[in-house]
Amino acid sequence: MSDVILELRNICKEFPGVKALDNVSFDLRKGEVHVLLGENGAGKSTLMKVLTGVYHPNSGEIVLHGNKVSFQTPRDAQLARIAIIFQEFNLAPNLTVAQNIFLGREPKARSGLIDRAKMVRDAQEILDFLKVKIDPNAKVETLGVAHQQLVEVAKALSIDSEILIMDEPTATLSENEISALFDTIRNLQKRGVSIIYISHRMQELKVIGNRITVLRDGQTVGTCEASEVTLDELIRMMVGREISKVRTRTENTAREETALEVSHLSQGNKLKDVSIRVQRGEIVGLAGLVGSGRTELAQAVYGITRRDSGDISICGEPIQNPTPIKCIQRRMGFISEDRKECGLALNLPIRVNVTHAGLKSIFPGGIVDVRRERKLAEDYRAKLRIVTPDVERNVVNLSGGNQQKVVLAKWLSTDSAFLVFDEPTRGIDVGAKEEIHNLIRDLAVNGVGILMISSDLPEILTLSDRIYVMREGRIVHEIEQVTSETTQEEIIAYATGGAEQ
Amino acid sequence: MSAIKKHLDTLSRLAVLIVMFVLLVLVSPSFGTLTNILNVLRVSSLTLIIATGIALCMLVSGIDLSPGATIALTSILFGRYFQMGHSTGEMVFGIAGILAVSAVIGAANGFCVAKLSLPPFLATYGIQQIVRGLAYLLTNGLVYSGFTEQFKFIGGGSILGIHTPIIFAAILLIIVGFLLNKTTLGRRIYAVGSNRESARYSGINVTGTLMMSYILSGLIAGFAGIVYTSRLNCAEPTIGAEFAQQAIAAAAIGGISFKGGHGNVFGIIIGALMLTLITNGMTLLGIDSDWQVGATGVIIILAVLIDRNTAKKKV
Ligand SMILES: Nc1ncnc2c1ncn2[C@@H]1O[C@H](COP(=O)(O)OP(=O)(O)OP(=O)(O)O)[C@@H](O)[C@H]1O
Ligand SMILES: [Mg+2]
Repeated sequence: MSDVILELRNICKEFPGVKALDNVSFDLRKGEVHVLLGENGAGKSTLMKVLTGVYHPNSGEIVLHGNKVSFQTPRDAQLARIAIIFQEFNLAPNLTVAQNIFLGREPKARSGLIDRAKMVRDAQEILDFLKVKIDPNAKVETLGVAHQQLVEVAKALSIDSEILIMDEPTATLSENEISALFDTIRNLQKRGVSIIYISHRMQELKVIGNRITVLRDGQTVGTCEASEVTLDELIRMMVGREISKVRTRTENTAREETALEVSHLSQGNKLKDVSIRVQRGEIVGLAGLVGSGRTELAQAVYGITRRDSGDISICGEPIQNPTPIKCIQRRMGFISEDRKECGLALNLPIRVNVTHAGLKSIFPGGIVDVRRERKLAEDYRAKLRIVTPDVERNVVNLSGGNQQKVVLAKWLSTDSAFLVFDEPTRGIDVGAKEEIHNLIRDLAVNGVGILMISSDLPEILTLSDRIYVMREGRIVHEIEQVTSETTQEEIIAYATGGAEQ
Repeated sequence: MSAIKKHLDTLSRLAVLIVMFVLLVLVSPSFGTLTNILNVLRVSSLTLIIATGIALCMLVSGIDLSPGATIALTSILFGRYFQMGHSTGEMVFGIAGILAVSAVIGAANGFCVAKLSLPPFLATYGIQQIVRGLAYLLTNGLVYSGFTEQFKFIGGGSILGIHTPIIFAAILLIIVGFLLNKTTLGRRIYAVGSNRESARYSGINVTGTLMMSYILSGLIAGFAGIVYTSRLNCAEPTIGAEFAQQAIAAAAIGGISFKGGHGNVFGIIIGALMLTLITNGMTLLGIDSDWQVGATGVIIILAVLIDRNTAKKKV
């Protein structure tokens, strides 16, 4: 078990104004799952990009099977049997699932042309292996974020690799998919594949990891055996300070006014007769498996998609044909789970992104007060601990978790009375997660109605006053009052349909 | 410090421009004279005005191929209808009418792009054909000339020795610069150009923003048409054929990205000046005009290549 197949020695990588990696060393043994842990912006993704030839290190060396290597492009790394699932997806949206999985490596028929049938069959096989129900012929752009994530996983699995890197593969997945993914990982391990695993879901680490290396501010803090360390110790290693206390659920601050009322909403086979209600000042959790219709429900309310039937009213006002503009006029906001496509203007500075959702309310005269804009951005940078040398940086240069914080800042700076959070803490580290939870609670205390979609059950349980569970497009269960007795199992049972048998 | 980094892009372009300028002065001392510099600015100013409009469309990841045709139509309209009388009132009325017509052309472009979701290249190419066709139809085979002195001053006069087109270009750039940096419309333009889907989710009126960009580009083209007609002192349906291409090249050299959401007015200025310096420089160096055309192309491609490579190095 302990033969080292890969070693990273004294890697340094600088970006303008940021020392992302400072003398980092790391080794990987055959057949192990090596977890890479660290706060947002600690340098995890950068280290993996250096390893796979996306970035070139300023100094340091990579030793694979005892030989010094230097990959110029990710393609070179692939040839050396290293596969990576990037945190920010790399899929071609208008190609099909199967085409994406085999992009650049399409199976060829004897004629030399692409063997489509075989490609689809092989894709189906991998998807079955992962226990996901995705049509290999579906276009990737039609898939939700979680399914896109699974296509990325399938793509990496289709490469016969010796080292597999997974950068936050579970950030949007729910229990079912995660356990299928873990089964897959264990299978690969048995076949001698080594895995580098990055995740902010602390409870996973000890379940799947053999060893854990912690990074902080671009430096290695240490490596330990997963069985010999407690979560608290890990958190202390990665944060280097006390993280704010988990505030217990304060009193339910629900008020008389209704923030959202949806009755008998249906849409194709995605939503079936859905009725829900959110009061102002209340946090309502929306739980369910991936594909159960949670995001689709929010999108129908927000006017991203058209519903077939049913009534929607936002902050007491019925709304016939919702559009994002009309919803925002009624003081609703929707924080999408898909930050890259729907949440951020990646090539614009943080400062500018922060005011995008509130342009009308922050600058009612139509003239932008740049100083005020910068102040707002700086406030959120401090409040959410966005790691960046300054707010003039383009968002694309931030780490994944820090990008997520910018999406949150954009909506927190509006004066919304009803907010839908779709996977609000996707890719956010433990410390910042607590702070974001506190911010969400503060919003509720101030009378904002909150509908929170999350695959992270502990998050749903700690934050929600009330919980709806969805399955296959229906609301199958409502937990009217969340207490300390409410369990994840109760939610899972309804989400998977186990409760009805 | 961070201010320098932020403008690194523009600064590196400015450096190239300065180097070009210094080289030209070294080779041909007459290049550095005030007269020649003013001449370069005057020649650049029309390209600059048009490029500013087109840049607004490029910023929302579109393009506008119609300005040349708009200029032709503008000039015919003015020649045929609006100079009817010779009073100041009539001239002002004429100019207002022309700006209205060009705004309508812009709105037609915007409608095709924003409402009908046509690809901007094809939509504005189609509109430019229609507009030029109109110019021909309205010409009646005549060439109009002999405008009033007042009108001729607009494009051909000078104030304190500075040619009026330069002054107009400067005013326009200040206005557009303000619009892009200090107004919510500017924020919306960059947001839509950078990521249309996220702009929609943020409650930004994407259709309205696209419409606005094309209308402004149309207006600016109409304005350029007035200046140009006045300078030429004649109206013909064939004028302005290369204007759009030239302006697009200037904007692109100046760092306005075809993908949208990236670039600023300083870039446009630098791009337009570079383009003029290339031709002007070659003339001063005595290069045969037949060679100039092709050489300009080579230089443009080199400029874009150098630019792309320096941009890459920053990562
Ligand atoms: N292309 C880039 N240009 C400039 N800075 C960058 C770039 N990529 C990363 N950085 C910076 O390097 C640091 C490390 O980023 P990295 O993406 O490796 O963090 P991470 O540990 O993966 O964080 P997260 O948990 O949020 O994904 C951050 O401060 C980030 O802003
Ligand atoms: Mg990362």
